[in-house]
Amino acid sequence: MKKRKRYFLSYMMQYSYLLIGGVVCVCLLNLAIVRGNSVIGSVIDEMLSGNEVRLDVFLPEFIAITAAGFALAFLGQLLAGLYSVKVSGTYRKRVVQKLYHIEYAYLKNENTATIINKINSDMAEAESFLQYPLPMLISDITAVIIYAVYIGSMNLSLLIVMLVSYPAVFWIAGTLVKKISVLSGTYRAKSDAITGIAQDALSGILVLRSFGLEDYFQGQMQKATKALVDNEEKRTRLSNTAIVVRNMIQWLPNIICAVYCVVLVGRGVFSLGSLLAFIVVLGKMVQSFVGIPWCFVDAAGNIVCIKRIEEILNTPDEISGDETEGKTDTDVIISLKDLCFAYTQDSTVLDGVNLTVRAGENIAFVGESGGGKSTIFNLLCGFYAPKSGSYKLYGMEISEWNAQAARERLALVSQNVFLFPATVAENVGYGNPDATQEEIVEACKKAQIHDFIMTLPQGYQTITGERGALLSGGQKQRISIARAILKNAPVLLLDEPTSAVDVETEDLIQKALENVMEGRTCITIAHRLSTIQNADCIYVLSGGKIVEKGTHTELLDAGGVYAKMYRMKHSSEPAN
Amino acid sequence: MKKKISTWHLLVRTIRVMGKRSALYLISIVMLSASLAMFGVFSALLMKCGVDIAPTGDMRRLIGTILAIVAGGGISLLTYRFFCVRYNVEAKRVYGVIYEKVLDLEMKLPYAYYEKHHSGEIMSKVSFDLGRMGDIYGSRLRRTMTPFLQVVVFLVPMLVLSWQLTLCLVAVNGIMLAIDMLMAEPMRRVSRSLSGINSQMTQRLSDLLQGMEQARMYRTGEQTVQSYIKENDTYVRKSRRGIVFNAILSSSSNGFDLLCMLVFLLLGVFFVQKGYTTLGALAAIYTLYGRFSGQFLELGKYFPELIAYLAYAQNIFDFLEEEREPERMGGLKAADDGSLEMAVSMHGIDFTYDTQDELLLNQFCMEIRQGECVAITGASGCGKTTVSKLLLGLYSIQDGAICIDGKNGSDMTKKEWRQKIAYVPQEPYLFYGSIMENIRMGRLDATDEEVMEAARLANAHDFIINLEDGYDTEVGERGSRLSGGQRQRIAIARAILKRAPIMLLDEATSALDNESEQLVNDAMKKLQRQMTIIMIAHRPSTIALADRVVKMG
Repeated sequence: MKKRKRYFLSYMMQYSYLLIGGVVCVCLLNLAIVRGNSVIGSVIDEMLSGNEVRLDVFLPEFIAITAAGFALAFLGQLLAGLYSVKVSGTYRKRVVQKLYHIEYAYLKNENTATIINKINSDMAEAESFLQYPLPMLISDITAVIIYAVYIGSMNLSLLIVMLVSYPAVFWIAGTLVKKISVLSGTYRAKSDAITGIAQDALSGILVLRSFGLEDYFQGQMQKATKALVDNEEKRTRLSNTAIVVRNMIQWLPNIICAVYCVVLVGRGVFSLGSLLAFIVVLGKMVQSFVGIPWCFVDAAGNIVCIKRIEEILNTPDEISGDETEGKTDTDVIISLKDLCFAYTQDSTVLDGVNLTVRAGENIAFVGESGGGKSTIFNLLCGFYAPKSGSYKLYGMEISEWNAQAARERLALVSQNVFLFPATVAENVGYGNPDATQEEIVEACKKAQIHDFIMTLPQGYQTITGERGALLSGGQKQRISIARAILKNAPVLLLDEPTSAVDVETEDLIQKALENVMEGRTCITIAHRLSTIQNADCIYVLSGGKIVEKGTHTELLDAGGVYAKMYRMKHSSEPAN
Repeated sequence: MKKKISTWHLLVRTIRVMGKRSALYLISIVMLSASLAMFGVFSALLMKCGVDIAPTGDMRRLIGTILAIVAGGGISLLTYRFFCVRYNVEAKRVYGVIYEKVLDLEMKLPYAYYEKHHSGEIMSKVSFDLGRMGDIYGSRLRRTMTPFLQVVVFLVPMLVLSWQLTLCLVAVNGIMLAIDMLMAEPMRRVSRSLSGINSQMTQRLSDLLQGMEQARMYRTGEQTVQSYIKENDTYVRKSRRGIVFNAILSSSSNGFDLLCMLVFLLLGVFFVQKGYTTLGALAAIYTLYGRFSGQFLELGKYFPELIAYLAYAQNIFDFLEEEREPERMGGLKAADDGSLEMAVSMHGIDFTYDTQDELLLNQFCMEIRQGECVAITGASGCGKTTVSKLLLGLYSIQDGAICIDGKNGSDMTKKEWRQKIAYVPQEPYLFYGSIMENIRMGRLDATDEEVMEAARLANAHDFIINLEDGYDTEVGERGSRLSGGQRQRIAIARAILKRAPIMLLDEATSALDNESEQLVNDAMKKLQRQMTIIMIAHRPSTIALADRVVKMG
């Protein structure tokens, strides 16, 4: 097993100089505060002993301290902020690059909306880790150390009394904090449930409305909000008990220390001025001290999210080699030999597929759904790697190809046409980023979609709706064909639409397909047998194997699976 | 000046949402702030008595005083706890109330609204604006009120201890607050521009993931990554400006802390020497002042935030004023008596979506008898889908009469109307939950047996019981764990369960493969004669089922 790389940590190390700079500033700032306090203490002592307070001695020092305080606080915050922004910026960049190269199976298995939400919210958590718990923890710890050293230098026995009475506070605060963080977790889940209901109601609005489910959903929502309020009641009960306990406990060492101080002062070991300085520093120290366990809780929450992103970063990339050209002296464009594939361990999808496609040929796959037709396309595009056997593209094994370069050869017109929420022109232009406006229009004309686009209110500048909702299946298909034309790749992979479209649209698509197939090597997945009667070779897939192959007439004469399918199709569609 | 009034009104309006409970809510905030401040005062007193009594060496008096103060502190903390719980519960309750209001509206907008607005836009209202509005109740308002109240509470003993010193300290703090307030506006600008870039970046991410096939097959995918990286760089650059402001804030809070120490030192020396105040009072003021300035800082930080958050409340109020779907369909005339015998009759319908000027349906007529199975066909764009939307009462028409199941459309509310029609859409939508729950949405009081009976009629029962959890199988987001054919049969089962006199199928088989189509068509055959069936279709095999074909266009 390859060792997992810790990307976040490595970026944290890369920019650690900023963090170190920030920490140094915070240390110096704390020193300045301590020094300021001891100055006040000694002034008070002077006063008490009846001496004239010499402002000309104290004042310049104190002004210098104040000026240093302004500068150090500014610099410290600036460096810590820069650190956070740089690390998270680099991290975000890395994640997006990763998503572009991550193995396809990962994206297929996860719901895309979930991935987007995950990345958005987990990223925010990663950022807030750098912004809050991390610098807070560092500054709290350094503050505690510096204040402790200062108190120790005033009086060692005082430090010891303090150190003995604090761990108890630390421990109790820690346990309470854990309990609360569990309840905060359930709070998140409950409020997510509420958003889920709202989202579900919105996405299914048509069904919801036609079935009159408004009251049902309102009831679901009431249940969910009630659960939230109940949880909140429990949570605040507990967390406020924690606050009460914590504050009372916080007093305990305060009182012990103060009493001990008073004893020391009574014995004359400790001056009253030092006592005042001590009390102030003690207050600040307690504040930092109590903050530490909370920092850990926050950090723990953040780190869970960072780990989830690290998981994405540690998912393997898709296989990609260095080959960018392929063999030029062969006319065999694609050859599959004993190709086997399975998505999961226990089910075989492709079981020893053999075939050869030569330049300019037009071949087709037919077969029942689940027979492995779409899987072959997934393999041809290099979305998945074969389990065994060989897939050669232009005479080279697919694993040796650079994934991008291999895909440059292939134009895919799939069923699953995704339209980006952008203009029609941009959506067609997606086929080739360098295409000019004229080329885009030309491609649309060939794809028989130009006339339709011109009827849209803003023509090519019309925004296509969410997931292209404004366009019909046939129109989306033709946009996809226009993209493929723009891409101008030598091999066309065509997954025919399963959904029937009306006769008029069918003619348009047929014409568009003829245009895009012209001069290209074509591989088609056919759902309606009518379109592939001119194919050079038809492969019938069943159970992951090629069970028949030949031309339309050959297969009909053979009277096998294909002939049966053809007959069934024609009896069920009498109108054709 | 006008803006200030509206901000104030907005705040009042936001609080009024709570109705009578707002009193409980506000009292809770006041009480919890006051008790928190009281605790601070007791802490300071502890300090004062230590310093004042210590030199006398009277241990018994010292301990007695300490105990009294600790008891006072304990009581104020318990009071705090009580009101804090009340406050939090009220805050979440009102959040729930608004959420229910927004959901109610979200479900009842005119149908055109959903077609014109990106669903992300409505959802962002729901999750983003509403979440932030909830924050007003849950934290923002308290964070502004509590420091303010605490400052007041601290001021009283401080003034009593030494009014001269206190006033000087307040003056220094005032300067600090002013500096923080100056910073608020530019900081808000930075965060607004950051959230703008962020939403762009999210869009790239969504393009990359949702269009993953396209992103990999075309070079443009690489460009999307590049744009993201560029925007990310801008994000980092803009963030730096925010960091500078943050650094200034931090500098001013820490620096003023020291500066106040200096002022305190000078004035304290002066006052004690002149005999205006005791050393103990000085110590008490000093600790009180620590908390006081802390609260002052909070006020400077949270007040601008509260104002910014009120903008989100404004968005929600605006949304809640959106027009709802009217109770009855507009533009309907009463039909002749003859039409009342039909299952469906549409007469002289003129219709257009408001964006187009030309009539999409011009004097459209259609009559369907009880128990008939009719297929509506025609080229795309001829208005088939429009007819089905009108049958569901989703739009108002310009002119004409519609009768459903022997009742005049103008005599029915849309709710009554929709009860008569069971609808199966082209893309079946399954809600989050189990298969059982999804089918039961057809009729909420149906028994398990009735649900299964409907599933049998829809040819869905067999595949459902073969699933690992049978009817309790969770369908996943939008039914993603089932195939298209399976989802469609569940949708049909749902429609059957409704027991409406009319079933309307909008291209229900067009996205299915042959096998699934066959199963769905078989199911339809079983239903014929039991109810009136209207199918929008163009597959010949589906059309073949119909008693009659209406060709449009």
